[in-house]
Amino acid sequence: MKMGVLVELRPQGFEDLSDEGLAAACAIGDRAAQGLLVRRYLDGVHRFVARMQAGFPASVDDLVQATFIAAFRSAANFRGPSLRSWLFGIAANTIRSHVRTEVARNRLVSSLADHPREESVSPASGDVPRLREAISQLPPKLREALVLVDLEGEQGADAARLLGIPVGTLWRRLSEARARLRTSLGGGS
Amino acid sequence: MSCLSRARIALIATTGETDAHVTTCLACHRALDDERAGRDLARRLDVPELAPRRHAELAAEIMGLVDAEPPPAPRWFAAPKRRRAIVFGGLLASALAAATVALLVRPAPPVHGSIAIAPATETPRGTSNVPPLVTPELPHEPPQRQPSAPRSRDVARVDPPETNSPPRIELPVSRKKHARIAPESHVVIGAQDEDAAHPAIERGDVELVAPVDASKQAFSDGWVAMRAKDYAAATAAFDRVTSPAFAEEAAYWSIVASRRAGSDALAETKLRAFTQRFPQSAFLATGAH
Repeated sequence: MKMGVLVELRPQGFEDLSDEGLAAACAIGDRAAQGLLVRRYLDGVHRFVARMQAGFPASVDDLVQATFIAAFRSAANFRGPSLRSWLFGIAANTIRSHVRTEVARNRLVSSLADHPREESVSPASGDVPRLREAISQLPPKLREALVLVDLEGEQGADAARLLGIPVGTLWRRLSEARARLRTSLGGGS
Repeated sequence: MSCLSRARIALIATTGETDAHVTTCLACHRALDDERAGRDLARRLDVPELAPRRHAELAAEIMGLVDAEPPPAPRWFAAPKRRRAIVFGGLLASALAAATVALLVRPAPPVHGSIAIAPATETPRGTSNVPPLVTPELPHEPPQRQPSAPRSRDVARVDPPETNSPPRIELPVSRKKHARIAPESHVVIGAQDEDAAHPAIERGDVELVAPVDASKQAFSDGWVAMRAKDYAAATAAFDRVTSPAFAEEAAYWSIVASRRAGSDALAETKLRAFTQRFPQSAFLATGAH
């Protein structure tokens, strides 16, 4: 199915490959297609990861790289419709794994050292740093909903699907994230 | 009308939908305002931009990692369901192969030497009432055989004779390979090892479930006639045997029947032919009868 699409589209213009064709080409290890996918979606994935990891900018690049590597490995599983949303889902999973690893590592380090690690960005003056800090303090599940819907503009149904949760659950998480954000910043605007 | 849920209010704040209840319910209206305030607050977060240079570097780093990746698994093996099926099938095949090997190498009770095969001095199964035969004079010295202890490669193995299934006889026929001898009828005349030094299977009969053929029927008719003391008919019946499986036995008993029928000249002729055709025959070796 995907191979057929690729054979048809590629001679007409590789840059014009649809999301499905691009994923199919990546699935068979086409390096040019992989490069095109990186060029096409690197900004969006980087922005999403940076917002999700607002308090830990040092890990953003690594997570972006891990997201694309994971995407290439599972490109054959892409079922559409949006490659961008699919990449966001992979990025969210990558971030969750990273957070779990970091939590375990920090616990180990804390148990071995007297001084806790200070990896997070300390709050600075101004609204944006405070906001970044507040978002980074949200639980990952709430942060995912907030970043995907409010910051990345994903539709509720799409965001729920790529997070693997019911739509109602997504809206409840989004409402909770907004409420905590207002509370953290002293009542909102 | 009940108030809206938090999820519904969050949806309205996000999508801009309208709900008549919000316009009439102060609590829901206030909750919607809070939702919008939270949304607007989150949207103040700066958009992290990726500088063009960093964009190129990051893309190059990603492609470098891709190049360092091992090649993907074949597509036919990559699908998780198919991979599980292949792995499960492989394990099942391995288990079946192991079970088969275990069954094949199970040691069968060996039967050495006179394996369920009647010695030449005995009559075939069911002929114990046959009157004693007058044995012909054997005109030559029996061949000298060196009795040897059974060696592993010389031992013929037969399935337990008490079973009703046809016995399978395995006999080494060369130093490098084994052959399986499956007699076509119920009599095994004998087999010798590759050096023809000594028989690996003594002649006699082995009960088999085999299709009745003309030779077997003729051999059986010959013994029916022998028991009926109709030696002429027995001679004729034994002479009809053409199967190599019965040839030696039939030829011998044809001599005996001819002698008992009083046809000494015929018996003498048949005996000469027998010694030429079966010089290694145990009938000659024992000099019995």
